[in-house]
Amino acid sequence: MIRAYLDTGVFLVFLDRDDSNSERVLDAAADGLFLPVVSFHTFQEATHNLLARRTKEEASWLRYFVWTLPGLEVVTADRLESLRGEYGDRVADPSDLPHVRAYLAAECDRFVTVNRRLTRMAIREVVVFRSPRELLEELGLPVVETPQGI
Amino acid sequence: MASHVTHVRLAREDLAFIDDAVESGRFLDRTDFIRSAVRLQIHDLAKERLRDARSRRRRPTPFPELLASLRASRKAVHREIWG
Repeated sequence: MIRAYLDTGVFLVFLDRDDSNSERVLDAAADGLFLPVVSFHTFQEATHNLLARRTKEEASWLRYFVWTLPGLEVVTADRLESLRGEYGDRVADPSDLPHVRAYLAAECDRFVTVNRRLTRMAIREVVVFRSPRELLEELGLPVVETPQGI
Repeated sequence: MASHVTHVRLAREDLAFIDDAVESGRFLDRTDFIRSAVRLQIHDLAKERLRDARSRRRRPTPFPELLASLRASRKAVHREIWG
C-alpha cells in the first residue's frame, strides 16, 4: 500500500475550499486507501497558520482531525536527527527540509504537496512528488478540476 | 501519549458484535475496537466542524495568498524548532 507523506498545504486547502482534490485525498486516507504520514512539523505549522488566519477552535479541530486519521503515522523529531545536515543543497528553502527528511525517515513513497515550487527543485531526484490530483489519479479515484490540481 | 481509564456500559448485543469482530481478527480485543470507534467519531465530528467553519466563509483565500501564509508559518516554526 502507498505510504504518502501529506504536506501541510493539503490540510489548509481542505479547510479553505469546497470540494478540492486535497479534501478527496484526505477522504481516501480515511477510507484506508493509502497510509497517511505527517510529521510533528505538520501540526505545528497548521496550528501556527490557523491561529494567524482563522480561530483557535479551528486550529484545535484540525489537530483532532489529523490525529485521528485512520492508520496515521506521525514522524517525531528524534527520527529526523539522523538525517540532519543532509539534502540541504537540494532545496532553496531550508524550512522545507524537515518535511523532506520526515518523508525519507518514514520511508514514504509519495510526497503529496500543493507547493509546485518545491517539486521543481533538485530534491525531486530523491522524492516522488504528487499533487493531490495526481495521487487521486494514481489511486484510480475521481478528481475535481482545480488550478494546479490542489 | 498517556491514556486514561473510563468505564462504559454497553448493550449485550453491542458487546456480542464487538466480540465477533475481535474473534474474526479485525481487532486485537474489545479495547482496540472501542478505541478505534472513538477515534472515528472524533475524526468525523472534527471534520464536520471544519466543514461548517468553511461554509461560513464568503470565499476562499486566493491560492497564492494561502501559499504565502503557509510559507510564513513554515519559516516561523522552523526558526522556533531548529534555530
